[in-house]
Amino acid sequence: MRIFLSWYNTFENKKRTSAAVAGIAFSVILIFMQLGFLKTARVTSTRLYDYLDFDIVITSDKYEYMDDPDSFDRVHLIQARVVPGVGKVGMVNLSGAAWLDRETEISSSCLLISVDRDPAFLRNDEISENLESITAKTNTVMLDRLSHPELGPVEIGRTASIHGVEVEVTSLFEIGLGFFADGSIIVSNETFQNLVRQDSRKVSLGLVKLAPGADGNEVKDAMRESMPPDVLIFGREEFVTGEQDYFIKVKPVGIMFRMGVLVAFIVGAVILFQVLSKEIATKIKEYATLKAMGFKTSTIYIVGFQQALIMAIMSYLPALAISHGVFFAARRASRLPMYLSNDLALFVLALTLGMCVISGVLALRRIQLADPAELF
Amino acid sequence: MIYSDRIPLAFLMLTHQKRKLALSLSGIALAVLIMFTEVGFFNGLNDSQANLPPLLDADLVLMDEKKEHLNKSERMNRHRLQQALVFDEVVTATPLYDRSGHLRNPQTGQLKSIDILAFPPDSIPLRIDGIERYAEVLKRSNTILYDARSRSIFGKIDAGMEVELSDRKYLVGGLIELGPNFSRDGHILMSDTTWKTHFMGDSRDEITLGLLKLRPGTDVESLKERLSEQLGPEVLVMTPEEIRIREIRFTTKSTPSGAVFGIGLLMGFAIGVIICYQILFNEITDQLPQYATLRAIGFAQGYIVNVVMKKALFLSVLGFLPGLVGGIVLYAYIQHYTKILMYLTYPRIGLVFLLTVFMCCLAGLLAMKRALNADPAELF
Repeated sequence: MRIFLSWYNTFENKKRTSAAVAGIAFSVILIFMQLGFLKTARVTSTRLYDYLDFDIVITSDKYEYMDDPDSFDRVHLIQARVVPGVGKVGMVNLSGAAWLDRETEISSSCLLISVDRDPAFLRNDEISENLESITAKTNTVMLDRLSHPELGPVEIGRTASIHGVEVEVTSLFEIGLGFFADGSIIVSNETFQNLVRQDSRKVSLGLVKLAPGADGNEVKDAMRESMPPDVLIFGREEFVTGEQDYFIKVKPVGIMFRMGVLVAFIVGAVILFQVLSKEIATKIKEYATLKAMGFKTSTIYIVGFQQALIMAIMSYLPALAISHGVFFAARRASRLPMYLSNDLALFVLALTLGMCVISGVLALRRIQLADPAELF
Repeated sequence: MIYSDRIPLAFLMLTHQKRKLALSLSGIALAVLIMFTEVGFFNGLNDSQANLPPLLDADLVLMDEKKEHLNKSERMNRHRLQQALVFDEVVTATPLYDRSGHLRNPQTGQLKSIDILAFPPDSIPLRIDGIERYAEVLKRSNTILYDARSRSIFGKIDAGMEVELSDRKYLVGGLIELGPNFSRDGHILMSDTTWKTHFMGDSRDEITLGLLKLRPGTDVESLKERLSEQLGPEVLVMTPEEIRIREIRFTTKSTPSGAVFGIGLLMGFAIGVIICYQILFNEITDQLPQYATLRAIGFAQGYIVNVVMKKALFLSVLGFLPGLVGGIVLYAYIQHYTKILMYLTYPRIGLVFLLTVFMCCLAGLLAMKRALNADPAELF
């Protein structure tokens, strides 16, 4: 019975309600976008490491970030191999490079990633399957489909030049590191040496997989003890978290999007507050009548809250649907891996309900003023 | 139409209920604030990445042709400076050296990458407040200046402290303020002599930038052309302003910032249209009898249109002002805590103002039907 009252109240003035719902829905879409971008920034900052399989990582003590990894002597990898509990040891090299599309003569930046020959260090099926296409022959590369269009056509068989050396694209993968470079390219360690001409004793990252049954923390401690201080040892979790924190907190990418969420939240709450107080102001006599009929004040509060809730949900649902479309458009426009996950949808739903509670509490204070004696 | 000049009807109707108006304006102000935030971050990202060129105290800058943006490490031979000095108009040619080093955080012991700038202390080529007084300090061996606005990852560093930079100890001779960006977390400044002893390695003759000061009254454009011709295609000759614009172009091209903040701007605009529509619609609904009366006493449709559009314009101006104040506060706050350069320039204020006016006018047009349908016969 009560739910019907709030339902009828909400839909009594269809135009006003739909304008309010549209306003709140746009705030919710904005929240979706901002959180989506933030999440994408967080995800892309460590997306490379999601593609690599390792339990422990060895870095130079000057390791800053994926973009600026520095390097260390690969003799440390051999040292790591003898630590009890260490299973396999592999390596990864990273370097920024210049990609030249010979057709257009346009030069773009790219991140050159060399992976280990052993597919055990890979977590991405597509890369594992195509690993052979870049290890069989030198100067063959795997090109990221989400690269900037200026790199030229994303096709198997095309050529380009990296640091003046001709390379052939023999397979494709998908990563989208648009925040860091125009394109990403995976090569074998041999090709990497060929292109970058880095001292062949140097590596950017050492990847360690534990032997079956070994305890990660114990192995990490043992490695820290037996290896010199110019390399750092991290467990997978702490390494990935540190990487995200650097991007989100030190480079202040986080605040850019959180600020947008905050303002959008306030806007949504203000619109909801506005429409609720308007609603109560016009219905104050009806509420007073309800009171006079003996309904408790709490009943009237519940009716008010239900209206807030109905409007919040009605705004959330189209916002969710539209956001799916906007995410798709943003994915195309920004070449970032933007996806609307269920977690994100639930989190925004929680924010929408929070919006509804705050504006409800503020607007419903006026219900107390409904005085049966003033009815006439 | 005569009456519209005598009685500011739209304004009076709008300000009739002050409390309600305040609430309405806060809604518009927030939409304005969203637009300011998005415009601010987009430009903040670009301006921060281009923070160095405006600090260069030079009329023309020389650099290697392959240095497509300032974070590329390409250098050029220092004899280019001599080549430039051959021209009568060139008064001084100062080298600037730039590379990254690793600074140890004195509190945590962690090594973090920092940017090092070096130059001759007798002709400091950077426009940084108070830097002149450190000319003598920089001449002491192994003495550096630290950018106090560097990110906190380097720890608390003060004048008089000894710091470890790329495996060597240096004395911090003083603090200056330059500011980080997305590529550079902090800066250290040193003399070219200190630089040459420790950082040059086997590239002794290479400099990052050549900064030229010209005789007053020189035709910069024509000299630029003649210099380019003389120095050949391996050297770029640009003014600091041209470098700044090139940096911004590079940032917008290489990051998806345009799409990211453009979508935000669009959302802010859409929210603004809806809020403004809602306000006008409620206004008109509440004052339907007044509109009907106006019609009854013979005012034409055009007059009603005029009143509603004026209301929309008043709303946009009145809502923009608190939004602008909010924007100023927000920009200052963001710049302080994130060190992103948030400049609120007149063109940017103008852009958001135009969007606000456009937003309210659009809402006015949408709400118009309601007012035009006011029927005198329904008055009673």
